[in-house]
Amino acid sequence: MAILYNMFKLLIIGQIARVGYFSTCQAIFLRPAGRPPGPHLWRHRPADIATIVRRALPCVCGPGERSRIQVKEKILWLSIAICENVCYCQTNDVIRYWGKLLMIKQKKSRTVSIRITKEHESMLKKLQGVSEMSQTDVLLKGLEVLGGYVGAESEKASLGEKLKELERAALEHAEEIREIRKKEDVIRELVKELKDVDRIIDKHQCEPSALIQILLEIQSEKRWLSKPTLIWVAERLGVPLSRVMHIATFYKAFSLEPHGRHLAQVCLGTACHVRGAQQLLNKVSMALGIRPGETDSEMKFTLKTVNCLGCCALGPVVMIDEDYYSDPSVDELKQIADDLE
Amino acid sequence: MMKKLATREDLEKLRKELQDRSKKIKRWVAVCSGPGCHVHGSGEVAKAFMEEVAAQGLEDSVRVRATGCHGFCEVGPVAVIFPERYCYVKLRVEDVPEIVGKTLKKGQVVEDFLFMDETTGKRILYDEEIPYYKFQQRLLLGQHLQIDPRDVGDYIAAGGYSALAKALFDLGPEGVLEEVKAANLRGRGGGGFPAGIKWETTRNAPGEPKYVIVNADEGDPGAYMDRGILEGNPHSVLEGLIIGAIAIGSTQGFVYVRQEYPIAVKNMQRAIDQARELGLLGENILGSDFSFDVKIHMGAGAFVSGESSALMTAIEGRVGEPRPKYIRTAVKGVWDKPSNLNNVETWANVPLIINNGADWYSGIGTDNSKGTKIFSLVGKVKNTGLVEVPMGVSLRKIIFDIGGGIRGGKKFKAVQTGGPSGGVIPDSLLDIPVDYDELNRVGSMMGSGGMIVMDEDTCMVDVARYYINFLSDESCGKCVPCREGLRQALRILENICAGKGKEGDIELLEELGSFMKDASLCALGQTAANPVLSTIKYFRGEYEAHILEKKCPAKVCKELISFFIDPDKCKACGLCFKACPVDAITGGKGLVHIIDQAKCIRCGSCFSVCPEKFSAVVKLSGEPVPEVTPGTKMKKKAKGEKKCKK
Amino acid sequence: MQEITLEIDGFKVTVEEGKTVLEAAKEAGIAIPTLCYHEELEPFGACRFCMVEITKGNRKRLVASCVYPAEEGLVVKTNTDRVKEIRRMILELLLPLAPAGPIRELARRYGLEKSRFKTEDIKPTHCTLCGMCVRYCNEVMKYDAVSFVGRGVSKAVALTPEARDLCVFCRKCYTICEAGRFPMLAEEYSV
Repeated sequence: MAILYNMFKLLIIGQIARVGYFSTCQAIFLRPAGRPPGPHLWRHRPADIATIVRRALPCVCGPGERSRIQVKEKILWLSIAICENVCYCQTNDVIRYWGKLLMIKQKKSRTVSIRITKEHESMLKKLQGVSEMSQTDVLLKGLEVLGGYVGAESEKASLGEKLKELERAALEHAEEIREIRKKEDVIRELVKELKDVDRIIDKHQCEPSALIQILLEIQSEKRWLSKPTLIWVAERLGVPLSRVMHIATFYKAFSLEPHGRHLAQVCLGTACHVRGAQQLLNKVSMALGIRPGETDSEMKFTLKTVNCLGCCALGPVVMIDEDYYSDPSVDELKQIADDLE
Repeated sequence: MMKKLATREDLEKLRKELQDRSKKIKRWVAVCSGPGCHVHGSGEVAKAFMEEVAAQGLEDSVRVRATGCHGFCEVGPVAVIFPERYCYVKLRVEDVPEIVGKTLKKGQVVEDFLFMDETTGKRILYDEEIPYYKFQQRLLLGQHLQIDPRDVGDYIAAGGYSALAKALFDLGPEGVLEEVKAANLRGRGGGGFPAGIKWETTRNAPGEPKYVIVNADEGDPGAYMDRGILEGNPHSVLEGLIIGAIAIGSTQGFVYVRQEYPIAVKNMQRAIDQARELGLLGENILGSDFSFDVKIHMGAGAFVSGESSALMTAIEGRVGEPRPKYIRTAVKGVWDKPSNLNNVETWANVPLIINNGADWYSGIGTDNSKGTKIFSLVGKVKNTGLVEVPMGVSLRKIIFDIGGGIRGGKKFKAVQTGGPSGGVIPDSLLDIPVDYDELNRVGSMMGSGGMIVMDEDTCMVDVARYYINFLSDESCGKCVPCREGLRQALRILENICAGKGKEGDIELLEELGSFMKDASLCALGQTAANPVLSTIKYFRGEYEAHILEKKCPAKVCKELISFFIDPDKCKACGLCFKACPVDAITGGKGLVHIIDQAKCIRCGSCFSVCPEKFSAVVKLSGEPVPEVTPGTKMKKKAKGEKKCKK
Repeated sequence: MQEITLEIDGFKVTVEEGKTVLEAAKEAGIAIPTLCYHEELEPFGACRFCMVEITKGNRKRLVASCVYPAEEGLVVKTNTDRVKEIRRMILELLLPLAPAGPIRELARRYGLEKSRFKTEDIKPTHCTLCGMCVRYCNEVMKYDAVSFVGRGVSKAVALTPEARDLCVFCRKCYTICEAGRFPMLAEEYSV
């Protein structure tokens, strides 16, 4: 799972230029940070490769293994293949692979290599579906495929003997695979979620200046901003993730944790404050059994405080979903809470 | 689907048609659907009216309008029946059939629903004779009664967009600018900068395109005027904005609304769509060579984004932090282009000025502050709601004549104006006329128009702490004076409220305040100390009581008060016993209830549930809590008293 | 390019139009102390340590010299009593956050040993939120890996785990940090 997750992460961060797939093995081609997605393998600076390898492989290597990874000056490009718990890394001159606990250096002639061969090309084209799909769609489809483990029989041949052996061994771990299947559902969910996000982004014509509006719409639809969503928005709009994070933590309207199905907002505006908003907050907190900023364990209610709801004439006010209540008692509040699903 | 208006004559023709159509209607009812009445259930009342009118077969002669805020939120839901202007208050759905049957059908008055003047005990027939409305001059809010905010037809029938036509075809850009400058319209958002001069700066600044922006990021807690206007009459803001665009030479406008106002966003969006459909927005407006369009931008909840440069950064899709540059946004604003930002109310005033002329407008108000201003009169005042008065009216008139004084017979203490940037005004200054300069002089400011009335039960140190707490959360945190100054001021105030204040704290707060004023980056930081400085200025004694005597005179600060049940008054009813969330109250049948001070968390539950006729729970501050022996019997005498009453 | 003459601390200084007062002072050899200014970066105007008193016509004003543009005939005073008071107050406010290191040294130079303010509840982060690390990463290196998060008193500098993939370990942020504590303050900000 860790592999899948990391691949997914890299994929949506957009460092992966392409995705190749085999029955239980994926190849990813890494794109240097800050470069736009494109059709060719990227030339990496050795330092970048070291970074990427360090990041991409910790789940594959055992503890302490990372230090053994050496990156030579000559390395200009790299691709990684992951087969269950084994990761293969190919560069222009040296090919290495890391097993669960071992690292074997091999000469070129004897390696397991995944090059961009003609088969790969055709496979990627297949993925692109007569190349009419957008880059986004390819990535999303790639994700779906990752989740689904659709096998392409013809590709197996190019993997080499060693790989096949390992693959067979991996397949024996049926339990593990079942685990993975479970996670696939999670990935499918994510793909679905990101498709919704995509729809919103497309509505705003992918305009970076509409970033706040896009996040607001996602927030109102999903009730929170998940990690993949933020990463995806950043990637699609071409805005650095750090800026998206600043915006998501700067504005009050955004929540980085999932909200309950219902939202109770207690107004702490001045007019409400002088008329006893604090007491009302205590009452609401008592009636719902959660403190401000919390969500109950059944994900039914989230209690928040806001600085002014604009109902100052009736303070103190609590807003539950779309409805306003002027200074309700604890019993009334309990009744309101019970009436909601 | 409305037809596009290709010329000015088309607009007039449409207006005539709409007016003719409405002549057939004998009576109409304006049900207030403003924020206040909405909470009281005006939505259902309006629906009931429509259903009942249909049920009684009056559709052809009666029209029901769900309008924007009328202003008198305290007695909502309110409905005014035209043409007589009968005003019914506190309506319930059950009351509707009677009103439709009697008033709408036959023109009879139903006495029971009329407003009753508490002092004279008389019912008042017409809305304009109710004291709350009598002293107001409702130039903007008055329009709300005639208009369904969802219907552009209503706005046009009431004379809407005639100012736009006048500006386009009669006055021209220079004419409009001259008119607004002559009217001396000052920004209603806070600073009070003359709008005409700002427009001229933007107009003359180099760079294309130029932008015009409506600031509807009403972040001041305790203020909801902009919400009232946007929800009640979005077209007036839009018309003002288009006229401003003509004067400035802008082709693109923005409306920056906070997302906490979903109805305002919806109504504004609808207004923009309707205007576009009618050709009042878009290419070649009314057949002229002027083109202009508007986009809504939602604010995601940040008070600091109301600052002009921060708002513009937010429109660009970046974090809404103020810019440190000493270049006005009128010259370099959104995407470094000249951008003119005005508040909702300022824009809504523009069509009035163009229609009636600068002379008429400058006849209202004081020498330096013209026109009317809407205030949200809230807090401990009897009649809460939106109040529109000409500039120069005294605070006393607003609070006592319009607001009806303090609720519950309490004593007036202070009124807070100008939101977190303003200050408090004590009793002794109630007779000052309300205009920009006078309020600044006494250490407060006009702000966007929040007016929070406080009575003797409000602790001024707590109010200062409240504002500083608000600002320390809402500040963008960029510059040191504002961020660190607020952090430390909040700590000092929290300590004072908790009884841990030290001598010298007041002086330190004053020093911090003047430092923040001089050194902060934007207006938020520069004015952030105002609530502290003004409360110290007028209520120093209260600070000293907190620090020296460890006493909260208003009995608000939790750490400095204790709750005590007066054994002579306690009727052992058990209400407080049940309400206490921490089981700090002991007692039984016939036994006086006693609060265990060690367990008490001072939540005030017992205080609020103790029946008013007993008032046995009292707050003590700065004095020891008297000991009561457990098991004390309830006083019999009191029981006898109760019997006598029966 | 037009030339502008202004007066700084009694000296006549001539600079190109578009320069800030701080740059003009530097050209004239007058040092205005700063905390968040860096030559390679856009002026930030956050520390307010470079505040100076300007006189324009009859109006006296306090402005941040790193962002205030040099204007013809402007009279600038960089060391008036009020300016010194403001600098002392800034240091006094920052001391509880940065009780050791450069801020402490600077405070001593301004005759400040002990701050009247305390933050017992907050661990000293040594971060004055000058934003050098954030801005250097964004403006010069263009990696956009370091960012601010939050607002108001809870604003902080962070390397979010996701944004870490943008980091190439150039370590410029380490070296540019005035307090020299970058790795300490850029705590992991978990989403």
